[in-house]
Amino acid sequence: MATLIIKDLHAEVEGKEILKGVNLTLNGGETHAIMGPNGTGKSTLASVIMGHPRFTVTKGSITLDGENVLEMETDERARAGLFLAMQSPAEVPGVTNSDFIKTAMNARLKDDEKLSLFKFIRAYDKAVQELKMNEDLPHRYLNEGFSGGEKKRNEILQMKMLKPKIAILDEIDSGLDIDALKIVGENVTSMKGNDLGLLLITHYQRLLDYIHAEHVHVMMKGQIVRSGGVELMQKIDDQGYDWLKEELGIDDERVLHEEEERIILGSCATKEALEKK
Amino acid sequence: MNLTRIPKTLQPFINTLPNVIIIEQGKIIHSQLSESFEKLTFHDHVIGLPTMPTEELEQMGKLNQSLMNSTLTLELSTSARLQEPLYVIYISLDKDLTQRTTLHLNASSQLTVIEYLYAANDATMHLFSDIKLSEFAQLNHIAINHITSSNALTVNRLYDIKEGAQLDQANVLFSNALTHQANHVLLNGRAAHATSKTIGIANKTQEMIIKTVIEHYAEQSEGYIEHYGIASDQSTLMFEGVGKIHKNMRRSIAKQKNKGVVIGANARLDANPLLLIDEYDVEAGHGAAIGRIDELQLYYLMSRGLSLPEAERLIINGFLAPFSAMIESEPLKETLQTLLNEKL
Ligand SMILES: Nc1ncnc2c1ncn2[C@@H]1O[C@H](COP(=O)(O)OP(=O)(O)OP(=O)(O)O)[C@@H](O)[C@H]1O
Ligand SMILES: [Mg+2]
Repeated sequence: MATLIIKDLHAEVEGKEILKGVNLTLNGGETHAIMGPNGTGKSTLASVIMGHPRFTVTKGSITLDGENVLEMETDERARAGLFLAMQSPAEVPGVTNSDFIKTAMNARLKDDEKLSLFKFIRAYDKAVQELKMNEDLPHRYLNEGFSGGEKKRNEILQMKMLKPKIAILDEIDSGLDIDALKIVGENVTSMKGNDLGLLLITHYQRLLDYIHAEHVHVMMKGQIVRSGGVELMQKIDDQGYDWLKEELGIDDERVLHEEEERIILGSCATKEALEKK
Repeated sequence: MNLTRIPKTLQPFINTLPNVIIIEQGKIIHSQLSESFEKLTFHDHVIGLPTMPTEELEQMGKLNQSLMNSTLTLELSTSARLQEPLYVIYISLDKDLTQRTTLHLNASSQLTVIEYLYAANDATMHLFSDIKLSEFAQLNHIAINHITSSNALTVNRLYDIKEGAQLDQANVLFSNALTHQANHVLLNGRAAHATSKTIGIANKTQEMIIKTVIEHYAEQSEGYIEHYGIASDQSTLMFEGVGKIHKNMRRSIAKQKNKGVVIGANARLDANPLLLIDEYDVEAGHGAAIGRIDELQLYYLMSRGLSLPEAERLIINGFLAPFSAMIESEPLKETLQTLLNEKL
C-alpha cells in the first residue's frame, strides 16, 4: 500500500507564489476529493506532484513511501506509481495512441519481460471497449483533434493500462456528458481496492455519485483551508463558497489577483510570440 | 530477380515490392509490372527539355542535359487510372550520377509513383525531373533519398499542372550529402491543385537547402507547401517556401507550414516563408514553428513513464508519420523508420 505525503508545499511560477503551504496525506485504498473556486491552485498542486517543468518548488516536501518525489524526474515519478489525468492534456501529432501507451508500458518493464504485441493489443482493445471508445482510437494521433470528452476518456484509458498506485484526476468530469461520466466513473471505481490511492479534483458533487470519496478538501489561496467528509461537499454544492469564505475571513479566494495575472499572462504571450519567430 | 547488384540494405524491401523498375547507373536492370500497368510506357531514351520558368532552372536543366548519364521516361495513357503504386529505384554505386526523369500523365489518368534513390559512392548526384499532368490527371509522387556518402546531391523538379489536375508530392531526405532540393510547381490550369511536403533530417556538418515554389497562373488554383525538419550536431537546414499568385488569378489559395526541431546548441534551422501575391481575391497564409521540442508534449509523455530520450524519439518519429501514411509497403515504411533512427 502506497502513501503520498505532502508537507508545507510552496511552489511558484514565473516568480509568483501559487502554492502557499499545502499539507495532505493520501494512503492507498483511500479516495480524496479536492474542491475550490477557479484559480485557487488545484491544478498547480497536481502539476507540482507530477513535476511539471514550469513550476518551481520553493519549500516543503513530497514523499511517496518515504522516497523524495521532488528529486525525481517526471518519468521516474510515473514509474514509481504516480499518475495524473490532466485537465488539458497535450496533443502530440504523429504519435499514435497505441504506440505511445505501448512505449509507456514497456518503460516500466525490464528488457526480458517486454510486452508481446499480441498481449498488448488484447489488453488495449479490452480497455477501449470498457470505456466505450471508438475502435479507430489506437491508430489516431495522441489527443489530436479529440473532443473534450474523448480526451478525458483517453486519460482514463491510460490509467487503466498503466495501473498506478496513486492517481490524481484533475477535473476528469468536465466536458463529459452524463453517459460518459457514468462510464468513466464505473471504470475508475473498478480500479479501486485496497491499493489505489485516488485524488479527485472537481467542482461538482455529481462526480462523487459515481466515484465514492471519503475525504473532501477545499482549496483557497493556494492552501487547503478546510477538510471534512462528503457532507462538506454537499454543503458547498448547496450553498457555494461564501459561507466558508466568511468563516475564514477570506475576501478574494484566488491566489493571484487580476493585475498580477495579467502581467504573467502578458509576459507569457510575448515570449510565445518571440519563440514563434 | 538478380540481386547481386542490389545493396544489402535495400534487399529487405525491394524483394517485396509488387510493381517495380530498377535502374542502375543508367540501365534498367529489372522491371516487373502487373497487367494493370500496360497503359504505362517507359524507356530510357533521351528526350528534350521543356521551357524553363526561371534562369536558375534553365541553367540546371542545361547542366543536367550536358552531363546526363541516366534517363527514364514514363508516360501514362489518357484515362488510365492505376490503383497500385509504382516503385522506381535508382541505384548509384560507382560513378557520378546525372539522372533525367520525365513523367507525363495524360488527361484524367491517375498514378502513384514512389521513387527511391540509393547512392553509396563518393560521387556527386544531380537529378532533374520534368513532370507534366494533363487535364484532370492525378499524381501522388513520393521521392525518397537514401544517400550514405557525404558528397553533393542536387535535385530539381519542374511540374506543369493543367486544369483540374492534382499533384500530391512528398520528399523524404535521408541523405548525408550536401543537399539542395528545389521543386518548382506551375499551376497552369483552372482549379489545378498541388501539395508539396518535404522532410529533411540534417546532422553532423551537413547543409541542406530545401526550396519549394508554387506559382499560380490560373484562377481557383490551390498550392500547399509543408516543410518539416530536424537539425542536429553542427548542421544547417534551410526551408524556402514560395507561394506566388499572379495577377487576376482569383480565388486561389496559397498556404504553407514550416515545422522544425533543433537538437543541440550548434545546429541551425531557418525557415523563410514567402508569399508573393498580385491579386486581392485570394486566401493565403504561412506559419513557422521552429525551435526545441514542445516542452508540454515532452512533459505529457514523460508523465506516463517515458524517459526524455524515448519521448523525444517518439515525437520526432511523429514528423515522419504524414509521409509514411502515403506509402503502402510496410517493409519500406520500416526501412524509413530505421533510417530516421540511424540519423538521429
Ligand atoms: N503556467 C502558468 N503560468 C502563469 N500562471 C499560471 C500558470 N499555471 C497556473 N497559473 C496561475 O496560477 C493560479 C492557479 O491556477 P490553477 O490552474 O492551479 O487553478 P485551479 O484551482 O486549478 O483553477 P480551475 O478550477 O479554474 O481549474 C491561476 O491564477 C493561474 O493563472
Ligand atoms: Mg484546474
